[in-house]
Amino acid sequence: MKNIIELYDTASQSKQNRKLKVAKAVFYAFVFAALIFCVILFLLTDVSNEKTMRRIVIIVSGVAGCAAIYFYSFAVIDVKHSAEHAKRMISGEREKLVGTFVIGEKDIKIPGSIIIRPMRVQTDGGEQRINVSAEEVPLLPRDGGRYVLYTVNGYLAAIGVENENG
Amino acid sequence: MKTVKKIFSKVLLCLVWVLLSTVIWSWLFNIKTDVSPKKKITVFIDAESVRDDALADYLSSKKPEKIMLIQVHPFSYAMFDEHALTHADIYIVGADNAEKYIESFLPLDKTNENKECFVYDGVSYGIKIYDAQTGDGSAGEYIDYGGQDYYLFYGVNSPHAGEMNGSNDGYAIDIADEIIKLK
Repeated sequence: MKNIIELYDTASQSKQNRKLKVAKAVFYAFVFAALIFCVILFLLTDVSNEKTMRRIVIIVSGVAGCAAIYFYSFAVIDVKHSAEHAKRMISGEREKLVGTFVIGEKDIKIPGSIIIRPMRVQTDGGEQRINVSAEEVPLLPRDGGRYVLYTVNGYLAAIGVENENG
Repeated sequence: MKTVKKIFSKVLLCLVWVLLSTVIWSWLFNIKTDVSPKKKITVFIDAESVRDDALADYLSSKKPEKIMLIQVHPFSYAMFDEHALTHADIYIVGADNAEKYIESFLPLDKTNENKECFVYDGVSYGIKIYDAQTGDGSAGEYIDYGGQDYYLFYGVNSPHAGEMNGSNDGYAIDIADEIIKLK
């Protein structure tokens, strides 16, 4: 009987998608609120209060813009990339490798995508290189044993124990 | 450490945003609060440094009722807007540069005959407002004149120059008097 650890499943994908939706909604609501605030102050400006209104709008606009940049960077974009990667892993065609593996120590950021760790897999046919999402590394065994590795487009999607009895 | 790196990687983007939003909002506010030349007085000053906001605030406290806005700008303000520079009501320019802008200045009328003036081609154009030799001058608290004599000129296109160019009012002359009185 095979024992497989699925790194991606539809339940966790749904959870990630919900998280992404909430993060995006908060982001857009914040940006919209800041913009409306600035526009209202702008429309209320006249010659007598121009200096004060200008200062407030420029400060609020600057601070809100920077906050939005950081929020998007930390809370939205990473979740978005993870969700897209999970979707590809679930829907993609799997290939199978059998062998021992070593996980690289350094994280590598793929531009426009997730952070990965390279893996070297020693199979009967020679060495193969694949990648695994850095988020999933804690789930992987580190005993140096022989495993069945399921990959999609060179990324690890699942790992199982090889059944010696077939 | 990764978080710190990530924070610093966005600093440049934030700086660009702050600069861009400042420029855009400033431009929008200028458009929103600007009034027609008939309701404002514009003063352009070509000096080493000018406390333009402070001088504008002071002159605003002395402005005639029908004038809604007093603007004071250094010449650099009109770098991309020649129209603004050639349509001011009052200019304060050093003797070394006055000839360059002479076409924008009104010849003075006879009421200024007894004052020390800038003369070009036999015609008096500007009233002396700062003497480089003695260091005596007007509005010294707001204008850093530098090492040359300075003169106050009236704009040839000013709608507030009174009988000098047939304007409806002489509000530019009133404001100029306020500047000259400032010691």
